Amino acid sequence: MVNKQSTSSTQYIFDRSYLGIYEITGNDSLDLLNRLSSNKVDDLNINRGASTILTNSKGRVIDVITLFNHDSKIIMYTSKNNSREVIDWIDTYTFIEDITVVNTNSELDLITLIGDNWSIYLIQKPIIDKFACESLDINGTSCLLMRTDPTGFIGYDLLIPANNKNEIINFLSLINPDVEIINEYKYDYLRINEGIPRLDKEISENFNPWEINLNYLVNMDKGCYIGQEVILRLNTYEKVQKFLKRLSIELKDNQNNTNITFEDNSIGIITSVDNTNKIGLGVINKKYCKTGLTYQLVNENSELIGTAEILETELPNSIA
Amino acid sequence: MTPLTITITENAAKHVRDFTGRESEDGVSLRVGVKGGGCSGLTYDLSIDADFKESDKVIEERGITILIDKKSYIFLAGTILDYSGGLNGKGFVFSNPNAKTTCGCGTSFSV
Repeated sequence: MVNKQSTSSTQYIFDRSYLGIYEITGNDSLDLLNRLSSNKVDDLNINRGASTILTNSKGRVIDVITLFNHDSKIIMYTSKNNSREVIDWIDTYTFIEDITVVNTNSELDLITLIGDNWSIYLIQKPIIDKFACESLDINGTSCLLMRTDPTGFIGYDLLIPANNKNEIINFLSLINPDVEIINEYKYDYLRINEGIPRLDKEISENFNPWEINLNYLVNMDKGCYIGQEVILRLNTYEKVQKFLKRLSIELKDNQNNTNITFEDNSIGIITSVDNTNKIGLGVINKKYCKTGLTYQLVNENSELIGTAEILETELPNSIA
Repeated sequence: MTPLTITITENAAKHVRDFTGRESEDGVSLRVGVKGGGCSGLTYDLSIDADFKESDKVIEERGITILIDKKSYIFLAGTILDYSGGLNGKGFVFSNPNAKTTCGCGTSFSV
């Protein structure tokens, strides 16, 4: 699959410290995480990372976790709302394995840097590979720069000590002339506009990986993990019934539980809408995944609140 | 009621001894456990292991010392360990009364 790579001359800073941040140690850490998730992570090299999907036995998505192998430990981040669920899930399946999982949210923060030039400013390199990480020093503070492209643009997560956050954000704002510190709405706009699924929105137990464009995180050759049999069967027998699509929408009012209908048939749901109510993401029955169709958007009282059309663009391989 | 033990058949015990290369009936320790993973969530795990831990449940059966860690024992109580040989045999086979579902390959289960 080709992974579209967008570029951005504007440099953004977004505080993603709301994510669950964990340090995992122990000889069996990667082996256990490999047995519990869809991507192959047992051979993660030092200073490399990967995202992988925790699925339940029905093949539904519990969460997508991102792992980096750095400094004799694994750094893991999860969606914050799911942190407890992820940790309980790992704990349930830990028997005699040598693994310790420690929450580090009180000690570490995660600043996301979006844009092409951050690696030049911070480590004097034009770019680093996706899912590579490098240690760096910012004003005497040790930090870790990890490339994850969370909005589809080239982007990095900077892991920093929590008590240095404001100082480091100020420093980053000064070294980069085109920087903009963005809020939640802008971050959501960037990722929706690029068609990136987000934890707690598209990424939830309502869907399996195929339905929300997480195909690239399913390793077909790695062997057993929880949910593998269901996930591979869905693909082999072409049983996936719906797909995530980027939509151009006209919406009067963004409401929760907006359904997508076509000729009075319920064909999908809206999962995300940007703050302009013009671009959204939705999961749509494959029979109706066609450009040129105008769908109706209805609220939970079946009132018409807007229209939508598929923007047939290939979605990038990222999670926000 | 599920018996609070793990049983090994004579056929399985023989293959454990064959596997270790010991013909005598004494001194073979088999660790039986459960690991997270597999299609259904849990998989069986067997290893030759003389390293006894204080928290282990220890069962002596047919000359085999079966060691089970405490957490795995919850999922394995009542299990019969057999051996299915021949060209189409499956090797060691677990008959686990706690397993509610078993995946297609038979090595993974859920409770």
